[in-house]
Amino acid sequence: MLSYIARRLLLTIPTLLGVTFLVFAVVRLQPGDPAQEIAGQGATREILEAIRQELGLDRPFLTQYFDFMEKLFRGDLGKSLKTKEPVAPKIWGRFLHTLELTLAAMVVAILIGSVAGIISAMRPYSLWDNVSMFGALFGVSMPVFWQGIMLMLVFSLWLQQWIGWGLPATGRGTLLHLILPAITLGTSSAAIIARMVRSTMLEILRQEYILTAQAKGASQRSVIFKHALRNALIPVVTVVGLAFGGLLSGAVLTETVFAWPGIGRLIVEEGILTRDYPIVQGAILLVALGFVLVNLLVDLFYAYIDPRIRYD
Amino acid sequence: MRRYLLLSLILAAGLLLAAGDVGGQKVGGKLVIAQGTDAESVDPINFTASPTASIMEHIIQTLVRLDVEEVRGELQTTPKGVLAESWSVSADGKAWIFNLRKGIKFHDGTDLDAGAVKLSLERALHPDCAAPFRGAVLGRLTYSPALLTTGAVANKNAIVWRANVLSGPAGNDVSVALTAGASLGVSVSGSAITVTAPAGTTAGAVIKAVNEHAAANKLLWATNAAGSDGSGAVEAVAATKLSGFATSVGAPDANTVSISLASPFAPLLQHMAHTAAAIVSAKRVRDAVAAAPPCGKGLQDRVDGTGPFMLKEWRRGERMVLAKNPNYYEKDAAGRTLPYLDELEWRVIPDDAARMIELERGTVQVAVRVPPLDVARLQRDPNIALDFTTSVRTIYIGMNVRDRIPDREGGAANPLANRLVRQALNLCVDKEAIVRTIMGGQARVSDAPIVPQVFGYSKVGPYPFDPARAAALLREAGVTLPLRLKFHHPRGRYVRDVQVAQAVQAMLGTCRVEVELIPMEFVSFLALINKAPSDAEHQLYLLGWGTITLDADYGLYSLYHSSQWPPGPFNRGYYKNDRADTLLQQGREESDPAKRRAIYADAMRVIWDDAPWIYSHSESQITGIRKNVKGADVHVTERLILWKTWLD
Repeated sequence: MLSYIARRLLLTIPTLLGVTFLVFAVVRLQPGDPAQEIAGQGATREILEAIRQELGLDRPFLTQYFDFMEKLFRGDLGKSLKTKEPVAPKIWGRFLHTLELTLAAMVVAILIGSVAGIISAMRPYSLWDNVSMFGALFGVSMPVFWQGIMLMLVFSLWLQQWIGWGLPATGRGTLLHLILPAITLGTSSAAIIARMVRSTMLEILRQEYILTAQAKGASQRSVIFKHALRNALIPVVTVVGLAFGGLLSGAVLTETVFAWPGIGRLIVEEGILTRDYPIVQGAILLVALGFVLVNLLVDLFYAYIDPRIRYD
Repeated sequence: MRRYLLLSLILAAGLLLAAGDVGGQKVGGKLVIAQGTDAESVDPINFTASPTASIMEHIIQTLVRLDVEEVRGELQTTPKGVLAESWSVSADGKAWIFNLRKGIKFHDGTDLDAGAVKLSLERALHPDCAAPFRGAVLGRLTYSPALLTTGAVANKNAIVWRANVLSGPAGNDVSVALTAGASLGVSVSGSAITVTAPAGTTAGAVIKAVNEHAAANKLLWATNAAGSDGSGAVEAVAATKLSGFATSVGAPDANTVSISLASPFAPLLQHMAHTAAAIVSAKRVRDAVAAAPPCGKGLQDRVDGTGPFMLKEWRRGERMVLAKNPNYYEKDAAGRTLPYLDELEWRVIPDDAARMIELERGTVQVAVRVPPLDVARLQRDPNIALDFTTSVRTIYIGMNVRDRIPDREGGAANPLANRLVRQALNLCVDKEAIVRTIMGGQARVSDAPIVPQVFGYSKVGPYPFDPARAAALLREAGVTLPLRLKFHHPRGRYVRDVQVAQAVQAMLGTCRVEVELIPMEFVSFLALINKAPSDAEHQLYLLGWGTITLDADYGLYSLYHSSQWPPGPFNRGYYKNDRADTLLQQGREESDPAKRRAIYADAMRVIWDDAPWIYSHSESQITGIRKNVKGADVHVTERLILWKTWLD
């Protein structure tokens, strides 16, 4: 097991190397000049050249890349082109905010998704099933910015106007601030999880060991939760893992609508829009690392929930 | 213990009373303002956008500020002293003296003095610091040919310049002597620069050598003397002359600041009112510069200014909290200390709808950039008042007027080089309709390249909406119809920019001008249009320009003078008209306001007739303000002024 983990961790290195190269190339391939962005519209040619020289942007691409990699191996993600401050603390701080939101969203997604999925599977083609599957379709189709604004309208503004108290609409602070963005961010994952739980459960409920369990007189609750759900978990865990990894990259739209200071907004607002390469590179690298680690955890979790899976 | 409790209760009550009502204006409380973007920095040499300036101007201050008042129905801009109590300018318009207000302290407790002003301005001017507004606002102290712009001819073999050394060798009034010699060489000793050159060396070569020497040795020069023309050599010098007003800053005594210019520059006060010319405490800057010369390190997160508020907390991307400066010197009309509020909290809420919801909930009291389509709904809310203040930002569709547009086949003829075509395009666009429908009435049709709030404005338009006449002009121009043009425009940079571009496309279509729309993200867009004329492939481009100094020079010179072609400056359509060039140069050097007005009126008539832009509209700022907020001021330069604001 340990050697498996070690092997997997080693395998992340080439993955991340590939990511560094891709990101490094892509941010530089887009048109737009960071020197221009730093110096503003009024810059003279001399100013622009001075900035390019200072930032090393006038050097060949590969030289810049190797320089970046050399610093990276020393744990240095570089300095912001714009503020000239090290980017690492800023990226890490924003990443933690995103992690907080993502965890909350996953709690929402797993709770709503599995409950809806189980209910549907227990009474397939019933009214309940139709309602929850329609809800799932709706949840997956709703644009995030629309859903976010609607939730804000109802639970922040109208609630406040009706009863004098509403949920916080934007910003980060208390647990209450988490509720609306977590629901918004978690909805589409909840919908996917619900459909996945439903179809897997339906299949499992037709298995002979379920019939056996029912025949030996096990209660319905015990059949569903002990026998069926545990076996239905593997595909669900896969979906959860993928969704979790994906959300770590920061849901830019959700973060923007709720003014949540996460890594997605950092990448777009302070990275891409101003061509601040080190921020984009560092943030995407961190997100990629998170994604790889979550996938590893998911794989390890398989072994825990399904003892037949062994990695030795 | 109980006694202490009682005592503290009494004290607290006393404080509450003291903090209470003082004749209408209430003291205390916290105001929350929502903007779409965060401040980029609090360092005056390190910002580009007006939302940043809006916050910064509460922390740091300039020598003067521009008050906009309505005088007899006309808006008038008056420079008012802030850190400077008074100022004067020499008869030749080149030497300015500012007398500082006494007794002002920076937030770190140090005194405002001329040394701090000199340090702040020189840091802003230093080329290595690459302050964004240096070129446009503060002049061009660079290692460029602008350094040596004029020379006095001593004899055929010697040209003498007088230069002002700002850094490097100590001393002022350096003379540069060109003497005959074997090879071109530059040497600097003390305050003398000596150039040796073989016979027949051109002035351009000398300038290049001097500037290379300056760059290599990190010397900073500025010319400080006018010279007489008289030989071919000097004409070559004059040809390399760049625009701008090379500046040197001196501090003759603790309360006096002197600024000397290479050539007269009438709107200097307006430029000194720009946030980029703000004065910060020398103490912190010296420490920061010692750690990272020459610009300093860490100042973008914290500076000590003299403003009514001090930076208390800044969580980037979330909020910035400013606390009242208890030692602020400015008083209101009744002699009460300002500011009234204890705290300002600037929140970052990028999404328009979310920002409006927070305003309606009352969790924020002031929200900028109300979407035009939300105006009617918010006007029904009894707790919200909307402020409509025009902005100095003009939206236009620029035209590349070069004869040929380079492409793979080696250059295609550009129909926009023909003035008749450009006029026809202006006649074909229904500006009224754009303002009425797309902008929801919250804009103003442009009738000049600048807006009425700007000094030097006079009405020269608008071009009427007249498709018939447009068609006639296109026929007269002899272009084959349909005319095909490319139209690059940014997405999301200006209010409803995409819709404006689409409307222009549709309108031009009715005149058989087929426009291909190419929407771009702003940074890429800027890179595309900021090219030397030989590389430029753009034809039509949508852009905005805010004349933030409220003076015509800033709104016209950089956009229409032929010395201002990219890369770098803003004449992105490569417009050139000798008459306009002359007038714009006169305008910046003439000191009599009445004559300046006349010069700019002439210049704008020339430009308007040439029609290098399709003149569209100027934006309005719509600001949502809760009704319990009193005395909040929205400035035409897209800044909020909140030091005379109180909560009712």
